[in-house]
Order: sequence, then C-alpha cells, then structure tokens
Amino acid sequence: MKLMDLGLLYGLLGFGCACVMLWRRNDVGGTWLDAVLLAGFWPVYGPFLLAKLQGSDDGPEDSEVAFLAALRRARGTPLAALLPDPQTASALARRLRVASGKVQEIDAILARPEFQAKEAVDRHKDLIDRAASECAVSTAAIRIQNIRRLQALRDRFSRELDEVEELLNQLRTQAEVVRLAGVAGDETRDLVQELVSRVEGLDRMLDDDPHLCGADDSRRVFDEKLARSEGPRGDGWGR
Amino acid sequence: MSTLAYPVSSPSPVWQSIDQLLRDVPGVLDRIRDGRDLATLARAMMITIACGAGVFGAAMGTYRGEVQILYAAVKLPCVLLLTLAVCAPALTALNRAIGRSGCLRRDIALVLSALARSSLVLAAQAPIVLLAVQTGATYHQVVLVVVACCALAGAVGLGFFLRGLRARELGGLWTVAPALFVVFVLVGAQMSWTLRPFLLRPRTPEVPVLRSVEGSFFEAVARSTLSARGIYLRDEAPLPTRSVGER
Repeated sequence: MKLMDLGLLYGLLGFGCACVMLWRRNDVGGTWLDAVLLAGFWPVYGPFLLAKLQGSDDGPEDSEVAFLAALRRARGTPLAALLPDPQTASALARRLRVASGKVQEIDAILARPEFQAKEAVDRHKDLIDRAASECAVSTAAIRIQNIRRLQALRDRFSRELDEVEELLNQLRTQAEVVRLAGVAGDETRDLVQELVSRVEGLDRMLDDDPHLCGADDSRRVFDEKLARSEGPRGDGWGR
Repeated sequence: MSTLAYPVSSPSPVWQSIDQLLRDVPGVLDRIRDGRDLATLARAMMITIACGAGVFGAAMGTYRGEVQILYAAVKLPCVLLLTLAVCAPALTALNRAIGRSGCLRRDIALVLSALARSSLVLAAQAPIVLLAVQTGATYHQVVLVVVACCALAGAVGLGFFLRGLRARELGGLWTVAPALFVVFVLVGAQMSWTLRPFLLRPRTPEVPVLRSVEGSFFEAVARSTLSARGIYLRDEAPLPTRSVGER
C-alpha cells in the first residue's frame, strides 16, 4: 500500500467517524469543531467521544487509581513510615484491578441469556415435569449450580471491594488528620495494616472459594451420569 | 488534589483547560489520573497544539514567505497529532505489558497535554525564529535556531510526561518512559520527513505542499553523513547554484 492509499484510507475513516458523530450528535453532545477534530485525528479524539457515547467518560475513579491516589496523598504526611513501598503498592493496586475486572467480567457473563437464573430454574422444573432423561435433568441442575456459584463469587468480590473502598476513604481522612496533628497513632497503623491485608486477601479469594472447590466434583458427577445414560461406547466421549 | 477556582465569567471549559495547563500542572495530572472530563481536556489540548505549533510553523514559513507560511502552520500540528495517533496505543500496550495500569484515554490525554505544553513553549519561541529571519540569518543558522527551539519545547513536554507517568504509578516508570521516547522519536522523525518541507530557502522557485517520498528519514540522515565526509551519491544538488547576494 502506497502512502497516498494509506492517506486516503485514513481520510475516509475520519470522514466516516465525523459523519457518525454528527448523526449521533444528541447522544455525544458534539459540535462541528468535534467533527473536524474527529475527521482529522480520529485515532486521538475518537476514544474520548466513544467513551461519551458509552457513558463511561465521567464515571467514578476505579479502585486501583483510588488506592494509589490515597497512598500518594498519605505519603506526604507522618503516615509515610507506615505505608508500603512503591513496588508493593503497585502490586497491591494490581490485585485491586484484577478483582474489579473480575466483578465486571462476571456481570457481563451473568447478563447473557443462558446465565439467567430464573430461566435455568424454570427449565430444570420443566424437564422434571416432563420426566426427561436423567442426564438432561442433571445438566440443567449443574447449570443452575454454576450460575449460583458465579453470583456468589461476584457478591464476595463486590463486598470485599466495597470494604476496601471504605478503608481508602478512612485512610484519606486519617491522612488529613495526621497531617494537621503531626503524629500517627496506633489506630492509624492498624488502619494501614488492615487495608494492605484486605487487598492481599483479594487474590486468595478464588482459591478459598468453597463453591469453586466443588466445581471439579460437579463435572465428574456430570460425566459419570452422562456415561451411564449412554451406556458403554468405548470412545471416551464425555470424559 | 490541586485545583484552581475559576471565575464564573470564564468563557468555556476549553479555555479553562488551557488555563489549567498553564497555571496548575498538578491539577491537570490529577484530572487525567482520575479520568475527569477527559473529552473536554482532549479537545482543549488539540486546539492548543493546533494553535501553538501552528504559530511556530508559520514563523518557520516566513523564511520563504507567501503560501509556505500557511503550509508550515498547518503541517507542524499535523506532525505532532499524527505521531501521537501512532504512538499512544504503544504507550497503553507498554503499560499493560509490564503490569502498570494502562487506559487508552488517559494515556492519550497525558501525551496530548505534554504535547500541548510543548506547543505553548514553541509558540512562545516563535518571535526568536522571526527575529532570526528578519536579521538575515542564513538557511543553516535558521535551521539551528529551529532545532534549538524544538529541543527546548520537547524537554518541557518530556518533563510533563514523566511527571504524569510518575503521578499515576512508580513501578516500571524507567521502562515505559525510554521505550515510548524511542518510539515517539522514530515515528515523529519519519512523520516530519513525510510532511516536509517546513523550512524552505527563499530562492526555491515553487512551494510544494509535500515533497515526493524519497526513502525515509533515516536514509536521508545516512546520506547526509556520507555527504559530510565528502562522499556524494548524487551528481549535483537538486537546487540551482547559489547566486551572489542570495541567502
């Protein structure tokens, strides 16, 4: 592809983006100036308008940013001696990001039609009423189980994140108090320790989750039932 | 968090953002880190780059005069913004690759703000280029003045960028910053080579919008290095020989 072709393609894409923006002007709240900027420099300006369209531009700051910001504010106070070093803080912040990401991921999964708990329960009841095969009934039961596991996991992560957020708010206010008072008391030390241990505990949650520990057992039961219902096939299907 | 109180009569959020960039750098960095109203910030920074770099480009164009003033004023902001368009995803990818927090919008906003600050410094230095042109400096002297101005503006922008990276997260800073610097320099050099000329000799008979693509920036540097050592790859220079009294 020659430079002229590349330029033409770039210009066409920019023109298309500007047209879409003008078409969705009410949603984006854009002006002609936005359209011109978008047409000329869509890779730079596009993500901002797209975020506006998705309504995620002015959302609350994410937990990782809030965590690092709270530590940074506290670093300029006598609390600094109690805080984790920058590398540890970054590692802790990453754990928060993973946990937040998991909540979003689970939310997205639970929004899918095949993960609707009510529908899964209805389907299970329907299969029982119709005296369907044992395999079909147990499959429907496992589906319900999986949905409940995901819901439980999401609730746990969400609860932990809420608690971390509250601790961060407390750390922010405590940092201001310590900055003005000049001395960090025992309760401040406890607060920092609790915050760090909470964040450290986030990535252990997956391993500790009793629901997830049982996932392999459920799969094994399902496979055994499936093999029984189909009789000896000898091709290893279902294992 | 550092923020300034703006008077009620402030004309628009765009002007407020530019004012904030000039007077309250920690406030701008906080705003980027927290992801507050980034679309307005981006719009303001792009306008600042267009105006600041445009003024400096126009000053360069005065060396040849006429329509070259307009061409250089349009092309210089394009070099900065198109380089950013290519490099910003690389910054996000680098951040993600080494485990730092990477968000495309925040990364673009940070680099845009750094470039906007550089552009303001460039605009402030435009009178130096004009002075050099008006005092009859030779082509190569004007080139040196332009390079010095750009180096100073680049240093200011780089300082802002490093502050922004450090404000967000300390870990991996010295991996991301040099890597992006190298990417930006390479892409920027090639982009400016593609959109040349910016500074034309007054004796140039016609002013081209763009020159035909003759290899890359790096080939040109290699050829110039050979020429400096007395090894010429062309039989003659593309321009006519210099006449008496010509700059």
